[in-house]
Amino acid sequence: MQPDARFEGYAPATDVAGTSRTPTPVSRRNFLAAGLGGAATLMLAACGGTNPTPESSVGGAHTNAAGSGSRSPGGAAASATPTSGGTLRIAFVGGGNAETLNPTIASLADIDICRSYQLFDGLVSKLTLDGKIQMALAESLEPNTDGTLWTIKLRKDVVWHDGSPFGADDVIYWLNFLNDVKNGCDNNFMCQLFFDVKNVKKVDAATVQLPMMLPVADLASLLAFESYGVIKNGTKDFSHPVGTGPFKFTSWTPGQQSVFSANKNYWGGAPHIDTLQLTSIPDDTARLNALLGGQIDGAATLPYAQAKAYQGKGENSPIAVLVSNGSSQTYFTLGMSQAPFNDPRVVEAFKLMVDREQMLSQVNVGFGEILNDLWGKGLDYYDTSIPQRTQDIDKAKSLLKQAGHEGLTTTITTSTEKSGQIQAATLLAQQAKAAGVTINLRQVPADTYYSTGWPNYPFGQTSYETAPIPYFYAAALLPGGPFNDIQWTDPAVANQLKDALGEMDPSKSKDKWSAMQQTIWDKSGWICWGSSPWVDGLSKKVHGTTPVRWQLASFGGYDFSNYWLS
Amino acid sequence: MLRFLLRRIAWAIVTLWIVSVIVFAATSVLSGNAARAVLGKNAAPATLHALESELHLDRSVFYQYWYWLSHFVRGDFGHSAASVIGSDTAHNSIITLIAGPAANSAILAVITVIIMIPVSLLMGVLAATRAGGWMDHVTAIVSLTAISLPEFVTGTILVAIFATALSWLPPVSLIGPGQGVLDVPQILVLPILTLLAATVAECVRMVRSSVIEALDSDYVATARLAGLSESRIMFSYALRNALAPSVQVIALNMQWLVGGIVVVETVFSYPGLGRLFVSAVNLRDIPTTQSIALLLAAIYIALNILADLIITFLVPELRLA
Repeated sequence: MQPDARFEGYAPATDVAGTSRTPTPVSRRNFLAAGLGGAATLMLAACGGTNPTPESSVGGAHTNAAGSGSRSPGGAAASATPTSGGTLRIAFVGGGNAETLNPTIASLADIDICRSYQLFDGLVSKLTLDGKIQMALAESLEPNTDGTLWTIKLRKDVVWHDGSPFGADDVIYWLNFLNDVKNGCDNNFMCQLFFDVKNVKKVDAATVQLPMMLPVADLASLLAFESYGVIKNGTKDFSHPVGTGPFKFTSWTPGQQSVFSANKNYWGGAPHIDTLQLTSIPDDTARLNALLGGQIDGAATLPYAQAKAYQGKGENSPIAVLVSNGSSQTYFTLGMSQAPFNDPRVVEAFKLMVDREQMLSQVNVGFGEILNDLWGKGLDYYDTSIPQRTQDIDKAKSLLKQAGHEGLTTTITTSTEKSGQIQAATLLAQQAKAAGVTINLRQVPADTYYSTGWPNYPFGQTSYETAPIPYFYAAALLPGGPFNDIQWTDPAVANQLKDALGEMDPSKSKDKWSAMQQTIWDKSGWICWGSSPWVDGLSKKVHGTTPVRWQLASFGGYDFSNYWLS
Repeated sequence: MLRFLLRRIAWAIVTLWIVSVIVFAATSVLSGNAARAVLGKNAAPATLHALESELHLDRSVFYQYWYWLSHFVRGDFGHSAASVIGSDTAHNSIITLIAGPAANSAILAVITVIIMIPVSLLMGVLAATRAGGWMDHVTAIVSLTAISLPEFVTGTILVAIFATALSWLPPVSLIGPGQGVLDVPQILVLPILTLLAATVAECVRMVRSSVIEALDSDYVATARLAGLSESRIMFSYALRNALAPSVQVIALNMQWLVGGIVVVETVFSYPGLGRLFVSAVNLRDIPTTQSIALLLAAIYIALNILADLIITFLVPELRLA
């Protein structure tokens, strides 16, 4: 396997900051080869040699994915050589006329997030399946000794879709765009918390220096999420976007359909397909009908029960089911500033009432894995040494008694915003009865769940896509972050988090993150009971879907540049 | 006649104003606002406040209504709240936003009506002239079944037969960017069949019973005694008198189409006004919601006036009233 010259020369630059989170050099070709099938992958992994390249992790991930029921449509072994060309047609729920091609606000609808990853690239990429972060438009990210100034070295081989070269001026324009409150960017809060954009400096055509307002030990972990697509210097209008991504804009009608063409000059290797057509079909049944009727080649987010039924048909199933694992989940939130959850004993009692196995088997129909009231299982910084919390009704009862809340009655705000959400709330109410707790359900319409009082619900639920651990906790727990959905405003916790985020010494950093997660496990109002993988339906003529390479969302992190059609 | 028309139009304007107040109040009462809905859960408080003030959501409800109304009467329908951020300037004028979907819905409705009227008259007359016969029974069973089934069930059954099982027609109405529905006419078939199933059945029942009633009347008996042929009796006397109630029921069904299209468009993901309406409400996009609601209400009222005019024309006594 000869690595593509274009992909060599990644500096493993964050060594200073990172322990195991160093971006490892990887060639996309190797990844493509890994896509040829399980056997090939394992062989490659075996040939991997001395350095622990991601191939081996992808191989492992494949086994993992296969274990949870996903398979390559059409049989990976049967078709070895990807064929080029054709139109891949994929349908999502869509976001109506609020759909946008602006990659800095692409979070409202999955289809927006997906489009932003096709047209644009971030400085760093999505999380890989084994929880690592790889560089994208940035060649390296290097901090000074205390993490207050980061030097961002950019790739020199990147061109925009209009042919102009990508460079430092684009990144500086993009940072200022994020920083301007008027633009409403999703990651604007990062500029308020960390990035000192006013003092950003261009060193040369491919180097930018970004000072931080707080010490940041691992910048990549704050950048590996959605809505970070880098835009071209001077971009004001996104109706005909010019990006650097694997696909180029052709045409689009909001709420209906977009057509993108392959970027043959993509720095990460040209996609196999010629055309990518992304369609909005809001109705679940209509979306599945379109797939069964051959109008589309892929339908995002099948309901779990339906996915299970098609998986059960095995080879006779008219469609293939693709499972993209990750740490996406819908968790319960206890508002720690409001009664009765301002009493830590009540919070702990609620965490002890939950039967997580039952939740997973009934609500997720067996998809996903059990979680331990912590964010980001399987990602860097995750502390696996903290024991798994299990149901303990007696302890829950005695804690409630101590708190003077025997026979407590409370209300959870729930909705059908995410599939399985209301089922989880209903099941929790049943499980709570054993501890003498009555939980009433207050259902709000799905489309208003996040606009009617969230994140200040006294008792609610939040669903979130896979984000790196530092990103997630910073957004939730630092004052000024967008979603403190448990209303945990203890300054000591915010300071502990800032301390962990800024710790430059790898070994101390590990201890501080462990301590941070222990505090969260002990005290926080988050009940994380299980992960919810993304489950999609695919036509059997789509190949290159496994092994799943990225985390985040549907279709292995919207990995269409790797897909091919037979 | 002219006075009648003017009076009706004046009332129509008053009705539309009341509709605008109700829709505005209802949208404002709904929890959540456009800023939250558009920005999603990642929005930091500072970003939220910036958008809220841009959309005047930080002002009183009365100010917001006045702002909208005063612009609306001047022909400025405003901008979709959904596309204020992101500078997608090409897409955010409401006229541009509504025009395409409105045309698509109009195509669906007009074709449905063009088929509905002759088919229901023909089937109704046939069933009436053979009242009690097998033809009448079959029509009764089919039309009663069609009336009892909600459109989304009819739609699903049609998809199961014609799309999934036979693969004759596409199950979902997909059109590409820049395409119109007429560029892919096959997507129209199933939505129109679904709408016809719901409307034709009702019209047939009504035409049948009013024709039977007319055939039972004294003047038909007199005509028969005078020796006129059955076809002459039917077309010169019975049908004309039976038409007045039929026009009413046809008008009612056309008005129903205004709402029924919303459901059918959802089932087939048809890119029409109904789908846009649902999306606008979900996003708390008040300017768009208002504009679509008023457009639909105006069509409803216009159909009413038109039906009254036709009936007045058909029934001479009413012209004096």
